[in-house]
Amino acid sequence: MASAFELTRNMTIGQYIPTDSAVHRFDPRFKLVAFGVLVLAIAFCNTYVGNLFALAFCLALFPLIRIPVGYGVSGIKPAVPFIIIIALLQFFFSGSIAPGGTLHFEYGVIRITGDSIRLVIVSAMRFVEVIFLSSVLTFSTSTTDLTRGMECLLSPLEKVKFPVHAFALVLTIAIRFVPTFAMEMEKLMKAQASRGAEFGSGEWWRIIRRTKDMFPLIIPLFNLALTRAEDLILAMESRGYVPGEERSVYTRYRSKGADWGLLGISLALAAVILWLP
Amino acid sequence: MREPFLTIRNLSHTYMKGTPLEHVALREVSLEAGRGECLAIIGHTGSGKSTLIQHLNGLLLPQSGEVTVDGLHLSGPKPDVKALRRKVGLVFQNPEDQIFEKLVGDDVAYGPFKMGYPLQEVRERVRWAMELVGISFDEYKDRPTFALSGGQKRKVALAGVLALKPDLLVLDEPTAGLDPYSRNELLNRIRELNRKEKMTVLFVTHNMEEVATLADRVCVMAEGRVAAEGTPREIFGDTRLLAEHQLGPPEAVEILHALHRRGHPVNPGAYLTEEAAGEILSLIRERE
Amino acid sequence: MSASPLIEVKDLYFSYRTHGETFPVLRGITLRVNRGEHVAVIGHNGSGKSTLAKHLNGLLLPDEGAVWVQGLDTREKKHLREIRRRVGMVFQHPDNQLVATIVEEDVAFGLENLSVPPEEMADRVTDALRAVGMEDFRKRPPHHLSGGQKQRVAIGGILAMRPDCLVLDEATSMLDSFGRKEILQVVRRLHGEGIAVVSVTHHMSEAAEADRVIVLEKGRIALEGTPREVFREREQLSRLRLDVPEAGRIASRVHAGHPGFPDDLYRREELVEAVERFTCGKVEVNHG
Repeated sequence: MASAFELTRNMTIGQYIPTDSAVHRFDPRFKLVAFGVLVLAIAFCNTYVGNLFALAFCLALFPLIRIPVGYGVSGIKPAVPFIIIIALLQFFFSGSIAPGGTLHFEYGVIRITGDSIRLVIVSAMRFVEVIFLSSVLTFSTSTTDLTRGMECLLSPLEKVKFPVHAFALVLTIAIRFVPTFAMEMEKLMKAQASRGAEFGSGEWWRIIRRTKDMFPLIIPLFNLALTRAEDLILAMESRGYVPGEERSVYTRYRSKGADWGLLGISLALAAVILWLP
Repeated sequence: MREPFLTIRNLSHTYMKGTPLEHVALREVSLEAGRGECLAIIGHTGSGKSTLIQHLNGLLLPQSGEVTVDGLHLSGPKPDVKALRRKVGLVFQNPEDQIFEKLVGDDVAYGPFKMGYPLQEVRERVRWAMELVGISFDEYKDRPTFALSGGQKRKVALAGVLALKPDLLVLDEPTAGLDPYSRNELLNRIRELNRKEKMTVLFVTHNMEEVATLADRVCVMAEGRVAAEGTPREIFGDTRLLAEHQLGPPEAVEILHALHRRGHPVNPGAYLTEEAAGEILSLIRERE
Repeated sequence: MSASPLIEVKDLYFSYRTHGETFPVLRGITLRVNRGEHVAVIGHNGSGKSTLAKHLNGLLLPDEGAVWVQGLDTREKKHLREIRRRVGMVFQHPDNQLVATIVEEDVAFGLENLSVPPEEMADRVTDALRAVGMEDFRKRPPHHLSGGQKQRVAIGGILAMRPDCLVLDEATSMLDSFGRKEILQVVRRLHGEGIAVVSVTHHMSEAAEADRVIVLEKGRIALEGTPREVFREREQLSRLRLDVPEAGRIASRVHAGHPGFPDDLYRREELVEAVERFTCGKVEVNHG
């Protein structure tokens, strides 16, 4: 029986699973660029064929990084409500009439056209594809590599005085504390439940009541976050960190031929996705 | 033999079942505790101790196996978790983290209120629980929680669970991080709950001094299994067992073990200060 | 003691200010830590131990008085980085002091702050991880490590900076007995290699191993001396809500039953050796 308290059970995005596949060993900078290229291509792809192709290709990536396809697909579950809401909004409000399109229904701002039906299906597919791609990226790339890769890619911005390094550090720390806070939250929920608290019960329209029910979680979590932040600042300062001062960087990446290959393949795939009828 | 108050039979639990992060926490654990007994569970981080105790008040439900507390079965399709939580008070590690009300009295009252008791009853329960942990109701109920010391906060959190008047009190690392004085005080309070209020107590710990002062019986867990069970004397006396599970015994026991290794005929299970001194005295007297 | 001290604290006063109120924490502390010395600081919660520790590398700055690290004044901003390189600090919560998401990156964090060139960093990280016995965990994310392992990583991160002094601010209080042993072994070895250690602790048996013990009470030094000199003051210690190590309690019980036996032994080994001395003839007969 699944527990109501296993918070991280269905979160696949953000989980790093070191199966040591070939994809794991690519240079993170190239993985990030390839990811960007593919997401862009998917974002501009409006056709059924193109999206079917992209979907099939995303699914094929899971065996390639040695992750069971079923586990990868389970990552959609938490996103289902969003997909439905977006689909509903698009279904009612974003019908445009392309030349030769048919208008099925119109009332005030609500418009349902032949295009809007296609748009709903296509954008749901796009959403799922992006979730799969993000999962593949995070399954196969440690958060450290992700942030370091990001830092390298952003480093040209240092010329316009953008604090790339501080930005990357903030990102690293934020990611570093996600599992910690998830565990704390779980512990707090369990502790308060042991004292008779019930979460997520009660009628949903009684918002104030439901918000009040969350106080026993939110207040202690807030306190914990503050103490942790204070501790962390002390620990960082005590190791000689001074914000804004010059630092050196531990991890350096060197690109290999395979990395350029990855970039080439992703560009080719993007082209196929966009050029398909 | 007393009728067992708590029975666990062949309990197994796997986290993240069906994912690449699958992890088996409990394997076929069986355990009993009699009414009024004080049972210690020791073992390493990751030995399954925390998973085990979360089954005792229904935070986790058995995936396979049985858990029965005072006649209440947890294995059926719809176990009465609410009734169970009234019977079993679970105090987590660093319970002071869960305090969220501004005033001490309000925080202790949270549980009884949630259980739906009338105001008068809530008040009496809060008074009873606070006095039990050694915090004066009249003096402290209107004090702000943030101004308490670490030891006091922990006692307030304990009172918050006691206010449900549980028959079984389950504690996870009750004294971790406290200074020696607060540690001793809290241990004495827990012993009183066990001896005077006849509460059944089950606690998880890594501190063998705690085991020595409180427990009637010890259960050693390793890799999700019960590796050994016995009185503190039996467990501390077993050099091989302690070494195998890398358990640091109380200092008295370590000293006796060191003497034993050097060929002195001492009983290393004599874990109380007084007894250990007695063992050494008889060594010296024999020589004379 | 002719050489200049590693750390010198003179007439240190410090108060916390919140909501317009002032809470004095340290009131006139004067002390020295010499090169390669092991100093333990004990005192109950709220006595000012941790606040004092945070002054030793300029995390807090004195309201009055001064702290010098090898002659560098902590109040001078330009020296701060060098002071923090020389005096490294390990904190209580293993979870709250690791910055990076991979062990080796965390060890390198301090080196990055010192702008150590990348080529040199790899070697220093390797050496530091080896010194704390964590080289096999180099590529692991810290949240999968045990508390003791996390603390070892934290110590590694400081060692990589090649400090002269390691300050442990209750660094073992959240660990199980095994984790505590791991840390104490590492610290003992580092001390043997000539690094000075200041350990703030609740564990009297840890304090008994130091060269010198400082007892704090209400922000003042109440007692100072070798472990023997300090733990001999039993009455004063119990008034300060502090204990004597278990070995000491056993020794005094033995002394009570056999007045020839010394009653001022505080380390395990001391006690075992004394018992050996009192019984040596007999054991030899046994083996002979």
